[in-house]
Formats: sequence, C-alpha cells, structure tokens
Amino acid sequence: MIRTATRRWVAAVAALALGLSLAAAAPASAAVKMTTLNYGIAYDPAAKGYDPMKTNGQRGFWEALYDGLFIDSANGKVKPSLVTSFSSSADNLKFSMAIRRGVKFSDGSSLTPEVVKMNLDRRNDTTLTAYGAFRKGGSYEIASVDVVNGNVVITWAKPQTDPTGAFTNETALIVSALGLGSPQILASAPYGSGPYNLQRAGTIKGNQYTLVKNRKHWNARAYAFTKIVYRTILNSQALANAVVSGQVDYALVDDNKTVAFLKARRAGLSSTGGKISMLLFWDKLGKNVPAFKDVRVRQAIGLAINRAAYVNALHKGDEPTANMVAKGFPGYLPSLDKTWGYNPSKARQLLADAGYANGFTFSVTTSADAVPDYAFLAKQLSAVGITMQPKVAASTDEIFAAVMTDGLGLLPGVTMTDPFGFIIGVLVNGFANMQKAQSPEIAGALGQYFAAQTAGAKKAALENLNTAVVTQAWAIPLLEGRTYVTFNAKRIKPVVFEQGVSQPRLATIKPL
Amino acid sequence: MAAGRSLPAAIRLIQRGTMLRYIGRRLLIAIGTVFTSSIISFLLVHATKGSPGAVALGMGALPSDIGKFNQSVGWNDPWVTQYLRWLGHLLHGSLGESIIDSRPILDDLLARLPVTASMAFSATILSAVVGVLLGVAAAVRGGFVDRAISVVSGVSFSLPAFWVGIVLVYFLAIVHPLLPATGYVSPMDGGIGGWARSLTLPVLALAIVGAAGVARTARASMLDAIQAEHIRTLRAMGTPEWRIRYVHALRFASVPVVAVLGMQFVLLFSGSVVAEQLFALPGLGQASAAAASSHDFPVVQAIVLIATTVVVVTNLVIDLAIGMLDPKVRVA
Repeated sequence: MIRTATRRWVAAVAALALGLSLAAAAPASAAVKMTTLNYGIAYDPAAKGYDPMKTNGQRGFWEALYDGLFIDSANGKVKPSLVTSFSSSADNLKFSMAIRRGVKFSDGSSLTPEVVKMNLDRRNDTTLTAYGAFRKGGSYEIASVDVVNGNVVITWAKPQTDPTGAFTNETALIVSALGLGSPQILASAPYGSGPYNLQRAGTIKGNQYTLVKNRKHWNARAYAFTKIVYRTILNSQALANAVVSGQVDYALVDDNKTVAFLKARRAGLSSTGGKISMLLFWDKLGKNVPAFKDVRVRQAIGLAINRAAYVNALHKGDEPTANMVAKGFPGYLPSLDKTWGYNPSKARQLLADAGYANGFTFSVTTSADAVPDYAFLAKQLSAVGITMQPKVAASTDEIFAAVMTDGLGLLPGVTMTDPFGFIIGVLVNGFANMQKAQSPEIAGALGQYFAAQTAGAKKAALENLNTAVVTQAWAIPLLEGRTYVTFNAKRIKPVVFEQGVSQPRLATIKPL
Repeated sequence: MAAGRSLPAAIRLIQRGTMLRYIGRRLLIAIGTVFTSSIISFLLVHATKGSPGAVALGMGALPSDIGKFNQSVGWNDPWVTQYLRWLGHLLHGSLGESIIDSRPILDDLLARLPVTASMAFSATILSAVVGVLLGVAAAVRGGFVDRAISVVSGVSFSLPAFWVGIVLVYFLAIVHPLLPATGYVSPMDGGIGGWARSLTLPVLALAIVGAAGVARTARASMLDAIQAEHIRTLRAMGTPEWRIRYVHALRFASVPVVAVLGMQFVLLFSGSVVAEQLFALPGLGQASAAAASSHDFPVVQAIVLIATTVVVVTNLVIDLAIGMLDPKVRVA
C-alpha cells in the first residue's frame, strides 16, 4: 500500500518536472527570431509622469521615446542628432543650431526651431531637475534663447568653450509643443519624436512599459527591435536573476555586488570606468590638522591604504587605482599605481621622517552613508599609527562646512576622463582649496596644459598634472568605479560600451 | 412546533432562519467596517503634511501655483464636503485620478487586483491542502511521522517568505532554469500555462510558510477532535474509524483551520509588497509602495479602501464558513 502510494508520488513528481522542463524549453524556440527586447531597469522611469526633464541619468528609457538635439558619444562627447549643424560665436557667448527638418512627434506635429525654444525656455522651472545647469548660477547658464533665420540661437550668460557638453543625457531631449501645454498633459503620456511609441496595452505603471517601433522615425533603421518591454525590477539581485533566467535580455547593472554572480552564471557583461573616488585634503596648510602641512604625511596616508582590500570589502566590481585619471584616458599612468600604491612600511618611514613616528589623531565629518568607508579607511590608517575618528554629521550643512573645519574628506565618483576641468575648477580654485594653498608642481603642469597645442603635448601635460596632484598628495585616488551592463549572450550581440558614455545607446543593442 | 410539519423540517427552518439572521448581522457589520475605514483613511490622508498641488507640481513650484492646483481639485473645501464628494464618486464607480499622472485609479488597480488576488488565493489554497494533509497525518499517524512533520513545519514556519523566495529562485530559476525568476504573465497573454509558471515561485514561497502554520493548527485541532466526547461516542457506536477521522473529527477540527486560513489570506493579500518586489509582480503591494513613496494621496486612499474591503469580505466569508461548520457560533 505504502509502496503503491510512493510510486504514485514519484510518478506525479516526475510528470511535474517533465512538464516544467517542457514549459521552460518553450521560450528557447521563440528566440529564433528576436523582435522584442526585454529591457530591465532598476527604477521606475515614469514615476513622475513622462516629462524626461524631471529625471536625471535615465536616458536608457527616454531615448526610446524622445529624440535629443545631440546624443552621447565616445569619450564623454556628444554628436548631433536633431541638430544638423552648429557653431559658436567668436566670443563663445552665442551658440547657433540648425534643426533637422521633417521630424514628427508622436502627436503628429512637426519639430521646428520654435518648439526647441519652447523646450529650453522651461529651464527656470525648478521642478525640471535635468535643466539645472541651464538655470541662473548653473554651469551652462542660458541668458536667452531666440530663433534667428530658422536657427535656434542660445546666448550664454558667460562664454562656453564646449557648448555641446551642455546637452548630455536628458537635457538634450525635446518634447512636442502639445506636450508642453501643461504639466498634466505630459504627466499622463509621452510627447516625443523618438524611435518608439508607448503602447497602453502592456503598460503597467511602475512595473512594465511596452513600446512599439515608430516606423516613421527619421532613423528607424538604426533600431533593431520592433518592440521593447521595459521591466522595472527595483531589487538589484532580482534584476540579475531575471537576466540569468532569461526574462530580461538586457539591463543596466544597478549594484556592482551582483557582478560576481552574473559572471559566475555566464551572463554577458560589458563595462566602462571613468569615475574616480578619492580622499581630498581640505587642509594643506595644517590649520586644522597640523600634520597635513607636511607633504610626507599626506603621502603616507595614501601609501597606508590597501586599495585592493578596500574595493574587495566595500566596492566589488570597481577597480583600485592611485591615478587621478581614469584608465585608458590621456594622462593615465600605470606607474603611479606602483609608486603610490599600498606600501605601509614606506608610509611609516615617511611619518617618522616628518616627525610623526608615533602617529597622530584627527577627526573627519561624514554622512551616514559613508560611515562604512571611513571605518574601513580608519582601520587601515591605524596600522601605521594614525588615528582617524569619523563623526556623523547632524546636517548637510555640517558636511559642507567640513571643507573649512576638517583635514580631509571622501569624494566619491568624480568623472575623470579629462581631469583638467576638475583639477583647475575644484582642486585648485574650488571648494577643495578654500585655504588657497599653492603648489608650484601643479601650477607648472597646468601651465604646460594651457600652452599645449597638439594632442601629444596635451597628453604629456595631463600626465604631468596627474603626477603632480598625486605626488603632492592634494588628493588620494582610491578606486575607479565601473558601470556595467549585462545581457543575455544567447540572444544579444556583445554590447559595446564606449569609454566615457554613461550607458550604451539603444541603437547599439542588437539581436544575435 | 408548526402544525403539519415534521420535527426535522421545522428544525431546518429554524436553523435557516438563524443562519439568515446571522448572515444579515455579519453583512451589516461588514458594511459599517468598510464605511468607517473609508472615513479613517480619508482623515489620515488629510492629516498628512503636504497637498496634492505640492505633490503634482513638485518641490520647486510657486505657492500660488500650488494654491491654484489645490483649489482646482477641491482640496480647500471643508473635509465633510470633500468626503461626501469622494463617496459620491465611489458610488458611481470612480476612485478618482492619480495626482502624479492623472490616470484613472480604478483602471490601474483593477489591472493589478488579479495579480495580488491570484497569488494570495493560490498560496492560501496550496497551504490549506498541504497543511491540512500534513497536520492530519501527524495527528492520526503519530510516532515518527508526527515528530518529523512537527520538526519540518516548525522550521518552515520560522522562515521568512522572502528568504524562501530567494532560495527557490536560486534553485528553480538560476541553477535549474525551470521557472521564471521574475514577472507576471496574464492568462490572456501567456495562456493558463504561462500564467501558472509565472506565479509558481511566488506562490510556493508564500505557501511553504503558510502550510507550516496550517499544519501545526490542523494537527493540534485534530488531536483535540479525536479525543472529543462525541467522537468517543461515535467510536463506541461502532462507526468505522475512517469515517470518524475524516468526516466527523475533521469537520470538528476544521473550525480553527478555517480561521487560520482566513487570517493567512488577509495577511498574504495585504502584505504582498515583499513578494511583489522580489518577483517584480505588478500587484497592489507594488502600487501601494509606489503611491506611498510619491505621496499620491488618492491612490493610497483607494488601496486602503480595497484592502479593507478584502479583509472585511474575507472575514465575512470565514465567519459564514465557521457558522456553517459549527452551529453554536450562529446562535452566539
């Protein structure tokens, strides 16, 4: 009796397993002709409606629905898209753009220079976070926008040597005149001219957005899929699971902790670097922490940190570095990693030479988020006799005030594909040098860069600049953050992640 | 006794009358509960800091624009007026519009309701079947079977559903790709097979913990039932053992089990946020989390109303089921 019952159970389980296996095999046969891209995203792109200007860094979704004046390109640059040609005035105060003709929005209206002006004239609406750089005090503050002889002419508040740099990510995207009618209109539907249109059927807000190809798009042939289903999976591990188990074909990795899992499961991975996290010395004159006046002490702090262990403990997927410049970009020097990498005995020696053989104590102000980082770094410094005491700030103001009251601070994720702007704007003349400290080495390298006329000369100047900042220990680079995309390698061609691009463009995602 | 009627028929009539009165009483209480909860949720929403204008127009909006928006949606009207207006819309089948993107709330929630409901129903039914089978087997067989089931159900009961979900995903979707790790397929899009596949892992994750609770309750009540006086009487009268166990004792033991299942369904329905996030299911839990984080007042209010209605209806069904199983309850 028991045996019969057992046999029945075994047979039932076997039948269930067979059924599940057959059912699981079904999608594989459907993969022969791949027309739908299941695109995983770890955020709800339309949480605030369909106005792309209300978001930042969500181009992966918006570029399907909206065309941009420019699109992101390699090395952090942009190239024209809705703009066909552009020029700047001799004084770099005016920027003129010719707009592509024949472009239609999803509501049937046409793109005109006047519509572009209407878009840019929304810049003072503070709810539009993407337009922050265009507002008063922004890095690309616009004084006025006019339509002159059929071209859009932007007048900058101050000269802009690289005006196209203003049009990265969402800021370049253009909404139709009807969509701009009122916030409520754009809240309920997208009004763009992009290569895809939103399909109501198959769209569940906050979970899934189904887009179908706009066959009348001026560049429709560049886009491989007839349908894209954006699946919102807020949990980063669930997103990785969805890629591995085949529900998602492509996704931007939200948390680098899942990278090891994706590698182990043989999911396709592509990544780019470019963002350096570093310790910055606010106090180089020794006003708050006397020891920091001595360059040997600052150098010793850099040498005392085991960056590989730091990355392994807290920033899996990123790469340790002692360079101020991202790997592969002009100015990057592998030798700096060797010279200024982890070397505790040299750190102790430098401290002894500077008169701090018994170490010293200082405190740092931190946000709650950065406590694990500071705790790890404090443990590393304690090995060479330095006591760093992190204290959690009670307010954001206190964190900002730390540049005046503390000795150093942690600055995460600074784009360092071209370090010149950061070094001159932040490190020398910005908030990282409120004490107006001076360094002949850094000033000399900056002068060399200004004088450089050729690409080779600029590269040499950037190498000197990189070396000067690291050697003078105005900053201690710790790691280079990496941004990953993952994909189903059985369905998607290897994705090209151009250096300096925040994420691969939709048109570069192709089926096998 | 009514003239011309046999005694059993009269008893049935009296019983039917008692049952009808019982149903009527429970229905009135249910309606009152939903009504009261709608007032409380309305008041809570209005007691919260902020306004629809501030939410819809964003942090940087001018106070004058926020004021105009609030005026346009009647936010400045007296609370009683606003509540009666909301109630009027509700009676006409409208839950209003989202202040974030102006979409009709009812349409959105009706699209999500089947996801949460099918997950909660399936998990409840599965945990009922498995739990009752295990609980009865433990009580009836005793010995090693009882100890084994008690240990396994004790361990399973202490496991968090999300952890069970992660383990199931790892083994059944990642290591052995038999089932999808995330997503929901409606029966219209993927057929019954696709729908069942998409729900299998979340339902299993919820049912494993649920079945353990049911098994423990079923075992305890079955043991009580087997030792009850009327069961001993039946045994003395020579009623077959299988009939005693699986008809009389099981019916007697089912009252607490049904109560536990009712509670479980309510918990699964109202607490589906974690499972829906883990498996990326477009259910009410996901909608409530999104609405709460974006301060979408009307959506929050609508979800509270739906959740309350589900709780009240479930309690009503459970009360009626228990009333049918145990006549003493009807009279009480």
